[in-house]
Amino acid sequence: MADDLLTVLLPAIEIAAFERRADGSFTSIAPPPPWFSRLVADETFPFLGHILEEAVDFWRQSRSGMQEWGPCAESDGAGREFHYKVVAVSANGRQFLLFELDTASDRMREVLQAARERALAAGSRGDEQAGAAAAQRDVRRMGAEMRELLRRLAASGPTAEQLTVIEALTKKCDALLAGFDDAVQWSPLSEIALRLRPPKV
Amino acid sequence: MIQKKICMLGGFAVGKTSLVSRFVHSIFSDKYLTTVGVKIEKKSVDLPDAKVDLIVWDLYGEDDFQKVRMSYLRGASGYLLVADGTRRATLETALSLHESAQRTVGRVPFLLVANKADLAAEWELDENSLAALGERGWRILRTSAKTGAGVEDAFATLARDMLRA
Repeated sequence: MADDLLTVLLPAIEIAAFERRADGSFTSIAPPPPWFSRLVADETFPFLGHILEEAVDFWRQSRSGMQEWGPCAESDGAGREFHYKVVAVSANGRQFLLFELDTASDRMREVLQAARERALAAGSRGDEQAGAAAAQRDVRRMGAEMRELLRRLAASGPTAEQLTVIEALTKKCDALLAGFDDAVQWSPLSEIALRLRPPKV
Repeated sequence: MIQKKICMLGGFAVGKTSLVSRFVHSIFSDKYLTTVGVKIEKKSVDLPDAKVDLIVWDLYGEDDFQKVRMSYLRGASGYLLVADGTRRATLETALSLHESAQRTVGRVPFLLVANKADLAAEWELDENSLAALGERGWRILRTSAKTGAGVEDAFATLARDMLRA
């Protein structure tokens, strides 16, 4: 009766369950759920690697209790990724290996995906900010060089008309620098980056 | 048949899964899909003097949300440290993971992979830092999971180093 119950219940709750025999082989105690077929062609579980070795150590040392590994990821036939956990159980001297579908990790992945995409976008905004700061330094340096050239021009004995042009250019240069500083300080960074980017020809 | 377990280690979104997909399935997708836990893949590598079955453990990337559990490395004969060439901070993460890995599995062969080599215009990894690591005996390869450049070479080099170890 109990075995009948398990053969119905375990696949229904997406668990593949095996009992480990004394010779180290495994026997299924219920029909595995469909997702499990993506993992194995046989029941020696070579893909488990060190997990199986650790499970064997656990069974050797424990008369009762359980140990869990995972989440492990696998893709279904349509290429969608799903997750599962591996659980070694020791109970009344019997040893079991369970493969449990891990939908919590599927949800965790969605959350991490969103968080990491935001982190990547923030990193990119950081790059834009650094780019804007570097551009600001360059513009200030060029502005200072232009003012110095204008100062030397003004000191070289220009005509009244030339002096008027020099003074106008100096004012324009100061206004340009002030306007640029304001733009960097107040505008959204992406907009600044857009403004700083040379126009496409 | 010689079988070796290797692990992919690195920060998040550096391209570990993309490198494995390129190596095992010869495919690449531009869409970033984060990894949770571990995905195990297998591929045979033909070397001049041996054929090696690589069991590739593609581990989730490390960041503030998830620290890589080093127990995944148990039984590993080598590992690829992956950094994103366009994100300088990922080299620091790779170096930190290397130290943790050495504490877990000892001095097994490893390779530093500077991935996303196709994005040369956005390259951020400091050549001096890489050169300094090279002087310490590190093997460093540039790869692009997108174009496939350097990918086969990276896995084959690690396989050769593991056979010699």
